[in-house]
Amino acid sequence: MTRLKVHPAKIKFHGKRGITNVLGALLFVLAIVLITGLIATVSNEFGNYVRSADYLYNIERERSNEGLVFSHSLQGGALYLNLTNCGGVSLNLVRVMVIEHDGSSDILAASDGINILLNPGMSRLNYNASDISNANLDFSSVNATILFISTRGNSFVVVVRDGQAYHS
Amino acid sequence: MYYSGEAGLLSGILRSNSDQNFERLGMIYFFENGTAPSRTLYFVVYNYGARNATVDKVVIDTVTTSVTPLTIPSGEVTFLQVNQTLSGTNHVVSIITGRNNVFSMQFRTE
Repeated sequence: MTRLKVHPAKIKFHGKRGITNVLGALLFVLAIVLITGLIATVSNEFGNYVRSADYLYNIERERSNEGLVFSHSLQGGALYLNLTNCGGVSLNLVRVMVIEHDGSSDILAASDGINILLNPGMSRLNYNASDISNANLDFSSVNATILFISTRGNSFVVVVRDGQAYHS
Repeated sequence: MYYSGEAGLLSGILRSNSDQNFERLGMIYFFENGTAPSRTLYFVVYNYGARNATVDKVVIDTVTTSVTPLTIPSGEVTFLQVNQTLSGTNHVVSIITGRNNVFSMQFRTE
């Protein structure tokens, strides 16, 4: 058997290097933790940004695919509208308002939360536009614009002038 | 100031761009009320985005009008009132929001 001879100075040297290793390891771990935290934060923000870009793309695509056609029946002063979704996406109408044309433009009626949901091809028949917010409007004598607003920020317009209704 | 309150520049840019994408305003309709020269312009604005939007400035043609910051909650309609005299018939209005988004509409007066 061979006996190993260790010089005392070497033992001392080895001890110092051990402390340095511990400090280095602590600094390394600290750096790793900081870098990981930074990457996690930025990744999270980037994920949120990608989701928002996806949201923007989808809502604008769906918005451009919304379509609504009207047909009407004017009986005396009462205006009945048939609404048909001719677009490619479900349409949710949430507001309707009637704005007077002549002289001082006043809001004759505005309704909150009408909530008409039309899937593609579906119709809502005989919607009584004269009775919006119980305003009991007489469209034989009132010139007005009727606005239907969808959840995606589109507006669909019916114009009533001189007892005639005009629309898409 | 635009990135104030953010933890870092990169996070700030990503977060503000994300909020910009979520902020959507639809310019629905325009009408005016009153008689010249004191006519008031009304813009019907609908917030169809996922964030509340704050209107900071209104630019009509080349005239910038600072308005009292008006917050439009998500899913709500607001009437934006501007006192300004217009000449001519064809105009462009732009709304500038607190997140630096710009929404524009053309309109015509008689």
